[in-house]
Amino acid sequence: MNIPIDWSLVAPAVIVMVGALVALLVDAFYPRRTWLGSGLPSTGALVVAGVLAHVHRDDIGRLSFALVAIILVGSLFVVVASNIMNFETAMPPGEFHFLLMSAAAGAVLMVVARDLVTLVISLELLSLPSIALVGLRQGDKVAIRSAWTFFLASVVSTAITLMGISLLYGVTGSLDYVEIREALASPEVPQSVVAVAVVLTLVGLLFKLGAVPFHVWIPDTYVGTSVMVAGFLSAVSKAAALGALLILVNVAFPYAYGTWQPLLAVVAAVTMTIGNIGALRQSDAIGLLAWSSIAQAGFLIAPSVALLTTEGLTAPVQYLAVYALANLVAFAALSVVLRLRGSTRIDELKGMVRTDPWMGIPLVFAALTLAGFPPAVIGLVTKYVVIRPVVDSDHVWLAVVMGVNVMLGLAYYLRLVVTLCDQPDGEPYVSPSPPVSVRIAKTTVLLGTAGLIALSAWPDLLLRHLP
Amino acid sequence: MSRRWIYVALTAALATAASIWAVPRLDEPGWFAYVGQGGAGDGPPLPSLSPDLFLYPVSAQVVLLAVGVGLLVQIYSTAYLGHHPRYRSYALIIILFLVGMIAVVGTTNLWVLLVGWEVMGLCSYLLIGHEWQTAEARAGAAKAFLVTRVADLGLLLAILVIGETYGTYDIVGAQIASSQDGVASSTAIGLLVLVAVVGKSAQFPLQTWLPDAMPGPTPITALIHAATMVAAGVYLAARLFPFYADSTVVLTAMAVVAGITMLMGALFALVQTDLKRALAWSTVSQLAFMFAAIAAGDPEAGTDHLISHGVFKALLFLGCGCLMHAVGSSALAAMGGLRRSMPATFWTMSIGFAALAGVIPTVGFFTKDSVLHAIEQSAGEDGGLATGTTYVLLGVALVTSFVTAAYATRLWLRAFFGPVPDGRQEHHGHEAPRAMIGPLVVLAVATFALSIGQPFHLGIGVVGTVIAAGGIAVVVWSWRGGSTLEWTTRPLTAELGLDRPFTSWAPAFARGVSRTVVDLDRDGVDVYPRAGAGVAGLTSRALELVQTRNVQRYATVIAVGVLVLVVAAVIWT
Amino acid sequence: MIVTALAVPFVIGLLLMVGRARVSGPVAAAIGAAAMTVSLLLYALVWEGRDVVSGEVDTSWIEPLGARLHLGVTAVSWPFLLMTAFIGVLCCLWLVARDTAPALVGLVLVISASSLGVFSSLDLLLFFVFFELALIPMWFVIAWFGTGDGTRRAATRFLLFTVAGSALVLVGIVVIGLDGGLQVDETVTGSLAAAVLVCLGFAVKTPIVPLHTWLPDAHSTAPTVGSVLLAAVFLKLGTYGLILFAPLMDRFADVAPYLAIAGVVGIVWSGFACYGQDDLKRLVAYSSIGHMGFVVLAISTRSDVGLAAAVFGSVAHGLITGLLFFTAGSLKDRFGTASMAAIGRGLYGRTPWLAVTFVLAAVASLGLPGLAGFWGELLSLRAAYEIGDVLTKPVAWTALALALVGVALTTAYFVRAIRLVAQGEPVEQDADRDLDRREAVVLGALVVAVLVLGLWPAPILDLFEPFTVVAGVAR
Repeated sequence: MNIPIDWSLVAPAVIVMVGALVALLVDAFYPRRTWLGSGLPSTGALVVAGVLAHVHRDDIGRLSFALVAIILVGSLFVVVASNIMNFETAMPPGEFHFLLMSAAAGAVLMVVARDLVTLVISLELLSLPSIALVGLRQGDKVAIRSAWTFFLASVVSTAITLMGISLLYGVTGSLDYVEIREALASPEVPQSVVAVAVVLTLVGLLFKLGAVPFHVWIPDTYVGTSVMVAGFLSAVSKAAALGALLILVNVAFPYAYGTWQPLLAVVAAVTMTIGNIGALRQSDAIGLLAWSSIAQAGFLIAPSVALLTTEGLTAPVQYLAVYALANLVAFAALSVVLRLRGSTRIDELKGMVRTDPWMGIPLVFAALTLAGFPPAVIGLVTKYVVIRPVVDSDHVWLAVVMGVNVMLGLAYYLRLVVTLCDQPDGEPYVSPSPPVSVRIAKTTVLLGTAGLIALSAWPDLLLRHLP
Repeated sequence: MSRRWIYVALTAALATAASIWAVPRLDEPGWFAYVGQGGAGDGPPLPSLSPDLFLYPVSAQVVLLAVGVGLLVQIYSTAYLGHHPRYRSYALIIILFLVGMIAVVGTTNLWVLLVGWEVMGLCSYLLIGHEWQTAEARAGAAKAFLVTRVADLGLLLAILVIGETYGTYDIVGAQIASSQDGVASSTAIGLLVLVAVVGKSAQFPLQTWLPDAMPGPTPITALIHAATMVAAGVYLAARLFPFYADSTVVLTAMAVVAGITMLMGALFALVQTDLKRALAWSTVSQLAFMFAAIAAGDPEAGTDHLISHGVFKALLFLGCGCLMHAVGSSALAAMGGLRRSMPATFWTMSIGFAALAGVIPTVGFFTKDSVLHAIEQSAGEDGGLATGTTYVLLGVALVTSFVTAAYATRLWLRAFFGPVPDGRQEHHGHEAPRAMIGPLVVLAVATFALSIGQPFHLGIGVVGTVIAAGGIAVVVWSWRGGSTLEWTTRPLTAELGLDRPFTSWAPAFARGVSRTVVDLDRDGVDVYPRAGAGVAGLTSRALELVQTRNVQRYATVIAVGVLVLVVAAVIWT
Repeated sequence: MIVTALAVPFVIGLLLMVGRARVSGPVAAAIGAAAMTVSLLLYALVWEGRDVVSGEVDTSWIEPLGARLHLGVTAVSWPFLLMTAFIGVLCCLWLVARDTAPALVGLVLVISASSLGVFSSLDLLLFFVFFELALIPMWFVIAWFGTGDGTRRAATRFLLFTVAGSALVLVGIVVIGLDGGLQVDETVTGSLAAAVLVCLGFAVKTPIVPLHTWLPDAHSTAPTVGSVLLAAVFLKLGTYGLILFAPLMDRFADVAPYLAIAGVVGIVWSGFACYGQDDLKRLVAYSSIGHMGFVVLAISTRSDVGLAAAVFGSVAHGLITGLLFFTAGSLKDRFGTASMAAIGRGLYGRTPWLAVTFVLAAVASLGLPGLAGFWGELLSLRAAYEIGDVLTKPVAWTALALALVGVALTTAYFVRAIRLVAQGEPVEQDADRDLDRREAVVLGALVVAVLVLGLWPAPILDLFEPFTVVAGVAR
């Protein structure tokens, strides 16, 4: 088995990985709980990786480049916003940045992978540091428990994926995407075995995406861990999983569409519905966002019923970009709220638009974007974008389910929005003078919101330039 | 006081303007002749309210009747209602009513006609309900408005059908089109018009609103519910006669309605204990007379009787108002012996009753004569009513004129000659003020003056006179014999229970259905959103229960999920 | 010009919401009224004739989707626009009172402006964006400024129902967009799914029985201006949507019979429901369902007469129901409730002008000829009588018959309401106060409008006659 290495493809991931190691080293020799410590090399590595990816964008391909860009920007956002945790003694900054960057490297690798071995390796490179990140906060039993849950669920799903891959190898004799496609094109392959293999292979990716029925770990993990880690999982990790799914199916399984098309359609429909319904009764903003991210995964998967068309490939990526940005804004804002008020219960957020407009309005805008509701036009436009390929491939029923889910989603986003806008109950506690770390986090939130607003004003900016 | 005369002056101005317009038209030849031009397009245009005014001689007569009676009523009201706190709105609504009436009569645009028609209905509603603090007035007003408005839907549809048939909403234009291309849809148009006029003119089976409209101020009854608005139904039927003249179905239906109504109204009038209500039933009966003429194919006789009836019935109602003014009630039992104390009212009303009974030489005789003649004439003709129907109708009309003469005499005797009731002192019955007597005198004069130039049909005229004389004689004879003339024949005094569908069944039905609908709306239709929310809530709770942080359970969920997906995939593939 | 007309109320509305602590209520309302007047004047002046798209703005927006910033005024949308701006002005004037919250004025402006945006859009996606934009502000209007119990519940029900409907419309727009593009003047689709989805979606908004249950609660709990905007403007978004989309969908013919029957069933249903109401605002709310039934019947014929009927009916309903809700609001301001039993009888004697206004509004609403409500209903009936292209005779004439029953019922319940409130032996209450100047101005303006349109329907009807090509929407 000879797997060639194309350095122009791998370079960004390698840079990120190097950044991770540098961060660890810097922390060992210069342990500072400030921006200048291990955060700086991490930031630098992500930027350099971005530049490199841009240089090699023709080799990487438009789609993968877009995904890489989303992953890198998302990671950068998380790195910068994570400064909010600088004060936490329980959170070792060196390890944090190392794990984060490792996971980011895995994510980048996942979307440039063109064979199953790379896919599995990068999947593990993403998963294991993520699990460690979840349980990183020392002495936090809930976090460790969450990590444990996450780990076991992850192991199960990876095992299933490996089973699928081995079946595929057995059938096709190859692990390379292109070769698999050619092998599957022949009518002699046993169809039902291929079907089982395809389903099992996709399970790992669906698990990472948080699709039903592989979603159970998400609410526990998001609520149990640090807010920004949850943000990372919801944005970067999902981006990688979705990207890998799109590329794998598009390149390797086009001839098995009879298997994955109905599968993905049903999974998408069930996922968005369950996610939205689960979110209805959440009283904690993080829990709400956790369930909402399950629902959003459904919207991300839905257009892949038309994966073999250009639009079926680009629509989820465009949706993903907006979803990731909005989700990161929301999580970052909530991390600030948690830092300043000590709780992310929805009741606690009451009246934030009036008492703290610089955090309240971004939260409102992010929620509206996720709901797909004007004035967050970009949220609406990307909803339109993902419904289009679904309708185009004659899955009108799925489009209707998506429509109904827009309504279901609004039911709880509305609750969040109106609570934020409501009359506050008394004066909430605000720490006297927010340290620099909070200000940095706030800045990222505002920058992200500015991005969302800019995209709402000119949706063309996104739709023309991404893939 | 002077403020009241402002409204009289306004009415007078309106009346003058209408007269200047209408009087020159009186002498023009032709009866609803086809004049003017209007092109028929492909389809009817969208409706408009262009003031396409045009008067025919008959229209001019009706306009003059309306503004004349209107002016008299306005003068009369200064004394009758002048001190009422809401006199202003009352007087203004009368003016609005007259405008509506002129619109109905004077236009050739069917939509303007409809607007005027409904404005009259609204004014009638508001004026019946003028004493809105009393329950009878509220009920009467509501009933009148509902019944007439439902019937008006017939006119609305009739206009639509005319528009679709002839491609225009102009009466003249439609007549031209019908003369060029032939009459079409006549049965539909005729029946729809019939529905409308049956409601407006209180014909069977929608007659009951008119007697119940009597809680309205008496001058209003004289103007709207005797002389003009209810008669507008007759006018309309005559106006649109060319569009359905060739439909036997329509004419027969109209004849049946007229026959039933005229006899029924007269019989009800005969047994009333209330003067005003008796006059109301008399109006119903007389309107049926006019419809009989139209059904017999002679609308001109119908409109002639309309004019004459308008004059003498207004006279009677205004006189009735004087009596009520004097004794404070419209019950016959409260009257009696008013001949001496109210001589002017007595003499003028006597003329009115004579006209109602059909005594020569009042105008009532001549126009009734024309109607009877018209019915008789149509017997032998081709088309129109079947001969048998005609004879039945003629018979009913003759019986009705007998009963009419009888009840007119009865009312006259009981009001003016009967014994003075116990509670009332003789001096209490005093003559009405001049502003009220004046209009009575004018109308009494008109009752004679309009006879000038009326045709006289010898054969039927003699028969009619004999029958009327018989009616009068029977009552007078019975009176002389000592009868109090208090005839209470149970089914007749209960008005045959014909009111029941309107006063109890329909409201009970509406209430019942509406209660059901309200309940269903709350508990039935609303089920799906509530059930949806409930299911979502339950599912949400169930999902929470799954989130136990129990890793084994999670693994189980994942495993089962994978199994389901694999099986599904294999089956699909 | 259109952009200015939209931007002025939007910007002023946002500024009022942001600076709500710096202005007093009456000043805010006066500013709002001025902004809406500017908008009204601009929309009135932009008109260039019925054969062209007036004041057209067409620039690129989202090219990959074929969506453009395409605004313009057509013969169909112009009456809606003027009515909406007019109602907006009156709502602001109504708020010129001491206890007004400036934020409410801001919300009213934003809602009005988004509705104007809906009526001005000639691009389906832009239409949809404006369509959704007004919803959350309306939630705030109902939930925060409403009265009575369960304002939040009513507001949320309103929002979720509407969003469920509009989500279906969104899917429908996607289908249309894929088939023929998003430009109203170019696109056409042969998809049945689009027709079903779009009609179902707008049926919620309009609303058509049995998708109407959100309406009575929302209308009756909302503050006066909220009820007025909901009834006069929001329901029109539904009917305008149907008017706009009907010609774009070839398979509308398959949906039309159901639409027609549902519309007239709604007329009868709401008639009976009104007959049993005690709360005046609920009564008016249900009566709106009936009037919308006439409009839906007209639209479902997809004929020229039906188009004229739908436009006229919508505009007239906006004015008349605005008048009714303002009147009911006046009563509620005085007595703290809109329950007819609590208000008591004999308003003719207690507050004569208010009572007369109410009676006039009721009479206009029951479609008395000579007032604005009549022409729309009449033309609907005519459209049904002429059957049109897409209905069959049995369906159309059944609908016609049911609609006539509905007219009778409408008369019955309004006569009942007049009898219960305006007439009767007056029992004086402390709260008896006749119209003040602010109320008189607003109600007077609407009365004049109702009378003018009733006696002179030509300004709107002339937009549709002779029946030739009307540029833009009506093809």
